[in-house]
Amino acid sequence: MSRLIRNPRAQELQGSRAGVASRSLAFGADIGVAFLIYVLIGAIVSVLWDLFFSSKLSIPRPSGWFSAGAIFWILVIYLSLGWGSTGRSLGKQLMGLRVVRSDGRSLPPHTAFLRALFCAVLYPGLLLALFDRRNRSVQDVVCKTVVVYDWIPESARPRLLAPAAVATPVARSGQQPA
Amino acid sequence: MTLDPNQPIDDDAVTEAELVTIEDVPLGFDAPPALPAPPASPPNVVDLAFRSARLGIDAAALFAGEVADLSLRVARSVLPPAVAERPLDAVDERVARQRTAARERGEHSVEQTREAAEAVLNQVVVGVVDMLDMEQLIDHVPIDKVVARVDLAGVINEVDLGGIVRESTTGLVGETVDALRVQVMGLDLFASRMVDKVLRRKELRDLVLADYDVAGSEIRVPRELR
Repeated sequence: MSRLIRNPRAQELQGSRAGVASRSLAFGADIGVAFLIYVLIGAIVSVLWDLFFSSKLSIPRPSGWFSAGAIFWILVIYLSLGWGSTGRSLGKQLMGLRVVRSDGRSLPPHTAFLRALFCAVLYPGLLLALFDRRNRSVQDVVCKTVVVYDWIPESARPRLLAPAAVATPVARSGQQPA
Repeated sequence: MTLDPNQPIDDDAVTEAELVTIEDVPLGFDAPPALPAPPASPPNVVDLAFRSARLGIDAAALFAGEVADLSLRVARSVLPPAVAERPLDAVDERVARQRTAARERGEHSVEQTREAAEAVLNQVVVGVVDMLDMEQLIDHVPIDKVVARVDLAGVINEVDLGGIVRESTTGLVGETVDALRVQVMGLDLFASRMVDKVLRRKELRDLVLADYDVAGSEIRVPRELR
């Protein structure tokens, strides 16, 4: 299935640097996703623990610090995986954004991890994008990355058939190749 | 041009330039729009009767023409050619003309009669259906047996309901998400413009990333697989 962008302005802005509002919302959505992953993992671990090591089912109540730390690391890992693979986390995909290197290529895994760490630690650094002429946040400046509008992921683009392989002449035995 | 009422009209003497048609006469006011032609009512039973009679007459004329043609052939074989050839040729020509005309009229009559017959038949059928008590009719129709004969599973399999639902849902979600993105994109541009105004920045922001290919691949391919 292929998608089309109907809005001409949005079509025009594809591939250009994204602004602070889109990026903030995307980051907010990513924090929500990390929280949901934490709740899901917590519930599964709790149920399994109670089944094998306890006589009754109970709802765990971890400390705030533990929860904050767990969500922090889940967020870092989740963002690293998203940005290091296609450059899109779920939040970024929702807002039609993609994180790439400043030369337009995909992020290598270590840069993705570093950027995720910076984002999780220093999320107000995003505000720099509001003032910077190139919409760069602190994380972008440090990791040399860019966030661009790219609404349609590769999987939803029109697929073109690969050009037919041109048969190359093969020299038979005893013949000299041309 | 003046006309003398006592003078006989010689059609050949009037040239085209002297002819005045009704369209050329100034009316002095805007002509009212032509009324639409009344819709032709479908032929009824009376039309069918008249057209059938006309068809009969045409058939008789055609038959008479055939008889005359046959008579001519008999006359040609009986009478000596030196005597009968010229008069018979004249008669033959006339009979052939009449036969052609009769055939054309016959074909037209057949068409007209068929049209009238179809129209009358339709009216009769519609009249009969109107007279029927549908409720009573449906009571006598074994609906269950009719439905049992229909391959509903096959029909449902033929129609890709899942595909239709999937397509419409995906399209709807995509449109909604795109609307949200457009709104937020507008907010991005507005916020940056406001900040630039406050900072009294004169040059526009450099938002273009020249090296980025929107249609490019998103997955990093390891060097050894390239």
